[in-house]
Amino acid sequence: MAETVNLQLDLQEGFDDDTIVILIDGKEAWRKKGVKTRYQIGLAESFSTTVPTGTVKITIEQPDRHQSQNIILQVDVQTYVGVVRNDDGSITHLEQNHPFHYM
Amino acid sequence: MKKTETKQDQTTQSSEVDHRIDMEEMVPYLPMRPRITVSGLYKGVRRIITRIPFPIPRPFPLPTPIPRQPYTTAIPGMQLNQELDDTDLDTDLDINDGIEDETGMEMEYANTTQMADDQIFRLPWLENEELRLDVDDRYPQNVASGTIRRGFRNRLHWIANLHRTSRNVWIGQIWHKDGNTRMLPQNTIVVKVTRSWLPSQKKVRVEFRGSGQPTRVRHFNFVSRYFHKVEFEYDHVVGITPVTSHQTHSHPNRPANIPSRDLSIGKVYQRAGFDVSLSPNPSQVPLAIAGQNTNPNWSDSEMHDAMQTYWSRFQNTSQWAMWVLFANQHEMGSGLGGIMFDDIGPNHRQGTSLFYDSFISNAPPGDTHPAAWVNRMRFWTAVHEMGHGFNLAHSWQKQHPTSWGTPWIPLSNEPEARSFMNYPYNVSGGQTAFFSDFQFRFSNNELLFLRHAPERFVKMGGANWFDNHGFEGANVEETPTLRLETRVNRDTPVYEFLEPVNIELKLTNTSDRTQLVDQNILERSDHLTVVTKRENDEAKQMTPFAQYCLEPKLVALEPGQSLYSSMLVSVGSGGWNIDEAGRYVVQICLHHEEKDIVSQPMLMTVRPANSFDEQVLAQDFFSEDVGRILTFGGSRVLESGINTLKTITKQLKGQRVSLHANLVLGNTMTRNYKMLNLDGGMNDILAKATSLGGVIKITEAKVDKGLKTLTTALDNKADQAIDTFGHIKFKTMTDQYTDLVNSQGDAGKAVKVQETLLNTMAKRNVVEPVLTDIKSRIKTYGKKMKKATN
Repeated sequence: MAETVNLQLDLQEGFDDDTIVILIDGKEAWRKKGVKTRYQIGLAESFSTTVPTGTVKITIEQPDRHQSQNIILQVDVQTYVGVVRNDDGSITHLEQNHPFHYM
Repeated sequence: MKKTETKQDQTTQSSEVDHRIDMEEMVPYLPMRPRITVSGLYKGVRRIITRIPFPIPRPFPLPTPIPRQPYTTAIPGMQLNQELDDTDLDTDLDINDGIEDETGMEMEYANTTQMADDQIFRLPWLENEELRLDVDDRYPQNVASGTIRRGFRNRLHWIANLHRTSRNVWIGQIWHKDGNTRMLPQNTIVVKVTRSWLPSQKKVRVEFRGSGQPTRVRHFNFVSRYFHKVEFEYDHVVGITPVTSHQTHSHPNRPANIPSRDLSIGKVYQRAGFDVSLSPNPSQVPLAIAGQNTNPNWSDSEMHDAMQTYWSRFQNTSQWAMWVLFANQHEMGSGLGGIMFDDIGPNHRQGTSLFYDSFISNAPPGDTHPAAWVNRMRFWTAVHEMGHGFNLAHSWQKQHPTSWGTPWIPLSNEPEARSFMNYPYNVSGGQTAFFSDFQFRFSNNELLFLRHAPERFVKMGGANWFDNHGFEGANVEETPTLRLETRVNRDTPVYEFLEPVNIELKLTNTSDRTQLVDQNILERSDHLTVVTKRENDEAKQMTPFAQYCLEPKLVALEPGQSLYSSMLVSVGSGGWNIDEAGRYVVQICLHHEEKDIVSQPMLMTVRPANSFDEQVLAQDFFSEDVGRILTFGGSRVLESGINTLKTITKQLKGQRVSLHANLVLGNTMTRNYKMLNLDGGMNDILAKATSLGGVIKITEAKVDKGLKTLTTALDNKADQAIDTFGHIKFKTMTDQYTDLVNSQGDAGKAVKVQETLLNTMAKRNVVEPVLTDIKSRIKTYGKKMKKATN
């Protein structure tokens, strides 16, 4: 049986009342309507799950905007992914092995 | 450091000063030399402008100004720096400066053709002007900004960049205007300062020029080296010791040139331009309030509740004050170091929190001075979160898309800024790089916003967090097709102390075409905003006791034709708005078809009480009961109000308030009055009145007594009554009165009263349709009188 680790996704800047669906390796793992960044902390939502170590495909879908984007990660230890939605709807991300901090 | 501040403050005398942050020290310069700074807040000087051109009046106060043309000829497109040189400016500005006359009033003698019409301050306390000059002192931005307020609605905020042309003169272009831009069409300013060690002698003369407009000259006196006042209250959860200061040399990772200072939060904001004071009533917040148990994690709504409970200054309004809570942990966990939680409810940005059981208390592994690191991070986070309270965004959020809200001015992101509003660990090189180059300050863009943005964008409780920038000004048409006027029907708008203020509204079609208007538009309180302001007091908006749901009834208003209405403006459901002696202004805004029609401000004076008895009676008179009785024209239920009005009719017979009292008392007596009688008594539990034995009982009218009382109100001193009730109300009440008299079989008296009304109204040049209506009534009563005689 494959070892699992914790994966946390933080939806950070740029979300404005959006519906967001997150798929892990093709399976829907999280869905929420009205995702909106609280600009004073630069964070909209956090989502945490366990994934098998190795390569993980995270798909961020924005059904209202008919946009979808994949993030491919090599996950060996607990991983934190910050997801930012840009003005044009594209997604950029940052991964690190310690929690993101907000103020 | 809080202790240090308190200790320093012990040397001061007054309690107000006790909580002021000690004065910010000057920036050290080498070699040290005394400096006279000129930056700060200035207020416009009240001036009397003579319209008398040369020759100079005699006797004339010395020194005599040299009769010559002012140098400012507004030529569109002319560049100022081509037009003038420093010598010219210094010389000419001196020549045109104000001089004092024998009474100490400043006078200005100038060519009237050069001055804008609004140079004359007709209502100086309603027309005020501020200037913020930002050219020296801490972090100068070389910017001037100003606010012009005229009446309640007209406001303009402007900002100009400046460049220095000589020691005391700056020139600049106005690049931002917010509000009624017609109040300041000019776009160029020339600023000349008069320096002095004495604050009272610091002065600024500003010329507004350009755009083909006459030059507008304003003089300002120094008020403060700070641009705004603000008060902070630091409350903390039991067991938390707030960090409100930091020793700048305590951690070795710092800029090499930073002076060693015990820097407090207050000083940081002082340097940003705020006159900071600390609340004299800090509180300890029991931990139990969070989640109603001992769980130290706080939700935003719990913090909001705590703010309303423990903050001594809490108000649901916009004010220059902020609540800072030092707590354990947010329910989001240790990843949140602090939050400006107050984006809840109607007045955002009043409260902010810091969380010490979070990452801000964990120094990086291997840090040589972990305690100093933690102290600095806690201090930094407090200033950061409070910055959000001032509506500052994060450094990387400045250039945001329009869907986030409209930025007050287009700004660029500053992801590498060494600012309190950036995340230290997000810059290149991480927090080590950040703090090695961090001067404990805000960026210039942020200082521009804090010091010079329109006040509501910055002031706590003003513009919503991250959603600023909707203008408060009335949505007035460029060329209005309707004009709203307010007036009183008396020679001078002077009122006795207790006299209720009735004003008349007149809405006129000023266009050249017929307009369809709701006949009841002036009766519809949901369409009217009534504001009263007593000199030196805050403006108050009158809220009506009742909202009448009237079916719109469109009438054709021909060009020049008007609608009229009468309104009691002294009192509303929010209390009495005119209840003290002094000078008042009333201004009304009518909302019509998505546009606002704003009346000119109407000035009135309320005299002081004539006697001690009147002062004593005032305590009962300015009550909700009396306000309701006057508004609704009578009551048989509001006993304390009725008794007060009866006392007034006896004790203040000769005064106008007694006419109002007699009118409402008489009015009540002349009609049958339906009242709910609850013999079963009141019950706390809501229940049907019938289940409590309630029945509607009718109190019979006492017509004879009522008529006698109404006669006292309307007939005995008709002229005085018309003055105090106004033409419209007086006629309406007189018509009701004579109808009643007529119905009681005394048509002769009804005719006589209406004839008196006709003569009085004719003398007052009341419009013909009103006189025709009175004549018609006289005719109707006359016919009945003849019938009775026959």
